[in-house]
Amino acid sequence: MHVFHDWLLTPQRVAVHLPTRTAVVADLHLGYAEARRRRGDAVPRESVTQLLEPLRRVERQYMTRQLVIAGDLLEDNDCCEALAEFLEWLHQSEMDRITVVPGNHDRGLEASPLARSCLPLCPQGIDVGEWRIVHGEGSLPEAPVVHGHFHPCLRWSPKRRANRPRFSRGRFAPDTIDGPCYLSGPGRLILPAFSKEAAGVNILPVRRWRALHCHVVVGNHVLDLGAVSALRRKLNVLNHGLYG
Amino acid sequence: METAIEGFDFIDPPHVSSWLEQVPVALANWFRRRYGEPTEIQRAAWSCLPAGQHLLLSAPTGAGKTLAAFLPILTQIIQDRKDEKTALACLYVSPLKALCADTERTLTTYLEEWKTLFPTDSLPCLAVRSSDSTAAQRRQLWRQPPDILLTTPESVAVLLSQPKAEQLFANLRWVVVDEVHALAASKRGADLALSLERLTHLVQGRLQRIGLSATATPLIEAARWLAGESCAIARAGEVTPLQLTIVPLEESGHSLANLVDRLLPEVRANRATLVFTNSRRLAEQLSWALRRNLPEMQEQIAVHHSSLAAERRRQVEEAFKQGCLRAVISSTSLELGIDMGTVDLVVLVHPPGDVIRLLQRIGRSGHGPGRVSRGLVLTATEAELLEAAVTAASGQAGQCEPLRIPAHPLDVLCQHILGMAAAQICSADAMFALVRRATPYRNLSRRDFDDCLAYLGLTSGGSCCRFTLPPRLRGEPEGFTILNPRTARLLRRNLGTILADPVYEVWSESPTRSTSKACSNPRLRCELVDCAERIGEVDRAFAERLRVGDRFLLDGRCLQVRSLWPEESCLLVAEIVGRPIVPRWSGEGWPLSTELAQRLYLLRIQAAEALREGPETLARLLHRDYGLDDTAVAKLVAFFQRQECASEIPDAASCLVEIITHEGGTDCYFHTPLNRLGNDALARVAVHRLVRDWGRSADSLVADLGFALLMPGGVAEESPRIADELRALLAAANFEADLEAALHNSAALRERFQRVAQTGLMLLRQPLGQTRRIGGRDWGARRLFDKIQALAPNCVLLRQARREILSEWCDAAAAGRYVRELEHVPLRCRFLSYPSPFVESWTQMAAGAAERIETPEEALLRLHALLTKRTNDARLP
Repeated sequence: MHVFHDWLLTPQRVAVHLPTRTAVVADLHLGYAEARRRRGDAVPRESVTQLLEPLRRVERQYMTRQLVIAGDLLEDNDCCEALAEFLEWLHQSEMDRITVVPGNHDRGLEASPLARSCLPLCPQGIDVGEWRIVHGEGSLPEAPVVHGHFHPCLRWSPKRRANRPRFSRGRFAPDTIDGPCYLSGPGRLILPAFSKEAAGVNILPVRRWRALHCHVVVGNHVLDLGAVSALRRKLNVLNHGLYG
Repeated sequence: METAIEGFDFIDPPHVSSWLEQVPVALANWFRRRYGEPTEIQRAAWSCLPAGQHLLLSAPTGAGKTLAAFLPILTQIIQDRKDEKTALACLYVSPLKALCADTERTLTTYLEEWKTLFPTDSLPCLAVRSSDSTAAQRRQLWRQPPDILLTTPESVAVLLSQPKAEQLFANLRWVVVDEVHALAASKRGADLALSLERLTHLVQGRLQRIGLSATATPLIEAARWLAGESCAIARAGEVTPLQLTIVPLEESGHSLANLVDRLLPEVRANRATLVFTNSRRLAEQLSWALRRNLPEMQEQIAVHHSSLAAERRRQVEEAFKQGCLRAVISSTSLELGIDMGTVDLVVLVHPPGDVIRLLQRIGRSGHGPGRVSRGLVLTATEAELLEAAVTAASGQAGQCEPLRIPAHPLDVLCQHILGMAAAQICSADAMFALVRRATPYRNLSRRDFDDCLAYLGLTSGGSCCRFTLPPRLRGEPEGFTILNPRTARLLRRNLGTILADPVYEVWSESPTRSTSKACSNPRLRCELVDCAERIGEVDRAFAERLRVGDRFLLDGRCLQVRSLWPEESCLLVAEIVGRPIVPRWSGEGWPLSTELAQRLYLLRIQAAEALREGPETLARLLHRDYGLDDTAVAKLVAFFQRQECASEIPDAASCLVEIITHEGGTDCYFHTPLNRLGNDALARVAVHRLVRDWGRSADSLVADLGFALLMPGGVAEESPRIADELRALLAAANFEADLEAALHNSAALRERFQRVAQTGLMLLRQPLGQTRRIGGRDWGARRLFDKIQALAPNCVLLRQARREILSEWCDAAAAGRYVRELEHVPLRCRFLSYPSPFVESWTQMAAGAAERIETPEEALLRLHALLTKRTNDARLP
């Protein structure tokens, strides 16, 4: 799906800036399982190569030459194994240039000599065409800007009545919906979390996002669901059973 | 009446208790002064307890069971006392913290009265240990153990996992398990059964087990759960007489208003009324409405349910016991044996769904030997009226639901394997033998046991999860033990089978109270400093919709949100005057029991036969066999007549399907003799086959006594093939396989897996370090499920989740039996224009969500199609 004439939103949760052939991705949270294991959970690990496979697909499909990671590359400071695996992945990558904008989960990245020597870190963000890419934590630079950090997603369940009227016309309304989404508005593009582990922030109750446009990721598609405010109204109507 | 089998003898109570003659005269006199002569159950208990035999005491609420069990124990402790030093001699385990507190109060009252009879030093010392106990109280327990410890199954498991457990329990002689019927039927029961075996092992067999149960059928099963191979059973015939009235409410107008109108005179006329509802939401609504309608009694009406703060619940219990309250409205929290003092009348708003619950609830009134239990059941619809009549008749006849003991839950087993390994070095063979002695695990296979060890990281045995998960155990030359002290610490933080749904705590500003210490949130604690009182909790989903200034109902009060603390999951509120919204809690409502569903179906058949002989015959039947009054009988006769007029009453010789075609599609209503769980399995398989074989989608609606398939598009009107096509949806061939396929990736299985993963310690509820997680609270169901399914589809925890879904979430066994019966009976299709009265009545009873038949992705695609279509039609708001 294309937005702003120069951006392509892919179902792999990677945005591609077409004029510069730059892939922008946010919130990878590599080492999430590792972090959970450190806190006591007994959960399986996944290799970084496996996790970054969708990114590799985007690279091949759209011949991207640059990669910008817009924050939260790692889950926390102790994900050394994941960092090492990521550096190995980078080594094998055919991209011309890779930039990491550290996010709030990457505090230790700048302190790590290994990361500093191997990763081009841009704490202030980086320009791609006329757009500024930042992580999105704290105050944003002037538009146009692309950022991550919030993990936007669309989550909604139809209201269930204990006693459903027998001819409820809303009964074919879709069931529980849950999917990551991009948000776009004048001079602003918010990326979904690349990590599938992230539960995400539901966009529907967030007032400041009402004017933005929602592009939800479903399987191999990115669907345009229109402005968030209008979407809220429509879902409300669905809840009251006016759709048949 | 049950008959004895080998190892399980029923005791005939002697006419006179010889034991009471042997105890110190002062004590016997005290007993006679306070209670007169011993009750049947007490005579029976005292004839065999001093001999050291395991014993199950079964008697209705109020028959004096607690004293029957404790009097010999207390006496023995006093007589054996040599010096001031106390040692843990008796463990009392109950499923409710409130019941522990209540029993402690009762025992303390006895001991206070005995101060004049015995030297104070010789009196037993009591202590309560539950999750509410402070760290100081827990330390005190180890430093100076009491004679009697009152506790919950979870706390027993925590104590047993300590290396010093052997020392603590060295002198243990008795375990008293209260509410055996409630415990044995749950996973908590399996947990306790394993703990009991471990205790027995610790004291080398010198442990007498005593179980208390109000209503349990078959008693032998309950006794087997309690004691394994042999156990004496004392049952009392002194049934507290039931005086039960069933009253249908007015159907016109607002149902809550009708309910309040019916309740007001009862509350005014009785000194103490206890009202039970089937949901916390209705309990709140009702208390609010009653208070507004009885302003003079506003302070004397209270609400009591499990989402209120423990302290608040205890205040209500105390006030009610002391006669300061005229009415208490409760959901399920006051059902179990808490002594509520003198209750004049128990009101049940809507029938309770099973016989045991009916007896428990009604038994709250006339609590005490020789008194009459007075109950009033209020019903809203004819279906409820019929259900109440059948439940009451079954209750009068003592036909309770049979006890169903969950078979070897593997997640609980994993906890105990770790618990045992945390206390000492274990050998797999010895542990397997010990585990198999616990009744729920008597059929545990060695393969399941080895798979649990493998999941926990032990090299021997199977290999299902070994290569992908971090270990919790490590091998030793002479066996195995816990991996390290950190794992032991994690284990103790996460023991137990109770999984709380995510909630928000509700705190109110209360300048008179100083509870800042009780507030577990450091940030909030700093903000509030000495001015907060915890009122209770609301569901996260409800709380997240609230904004500052919103008003909602809790504890029968209108509360206004002052501030929201999403990170701490807290709400700060203030009480104001106004009209509140009513919270909704998840996990409410339960199905009709399998047996009641069957009886209800049979009653309908019986009624149809009677109706053929004329309405008077039916009226006589309802009068005579069910004791209904004229209004109720008239209502039911008219109900059956309307059904016969519109369609027909389902009979035993066929399966009735009512089909209604309308502009939105076709609705097929199947009438079955199954409860909601059985029908759920049928509906899932039918929808699965509809999608797979016919390529059609359908929504399903599941209720007790039937289910509906709601399909878009029509069916050929009165087509002769329709019966065959519908029959194919319920064919017996491959039924179990299709049910498993229908549930394979379902939200229900995912959610259940998350719960099992928490109990089985794959995901910890209380991990170490910070709790911020990007995965959210449903990560286990959303992501971990997929990973485990892909890496180790045979993992013990996945297997356990699948088993639970098939037995608890839907009743696969009952549904399987029914579809096999269906092979031999015709399917009768009736084409109607409107739903028949039977369909209307059970659709009204259908609670909860319609079945989720699509994945979130499919739902999103459909939403997109729906919205785009409407946009093109230019009919959007």
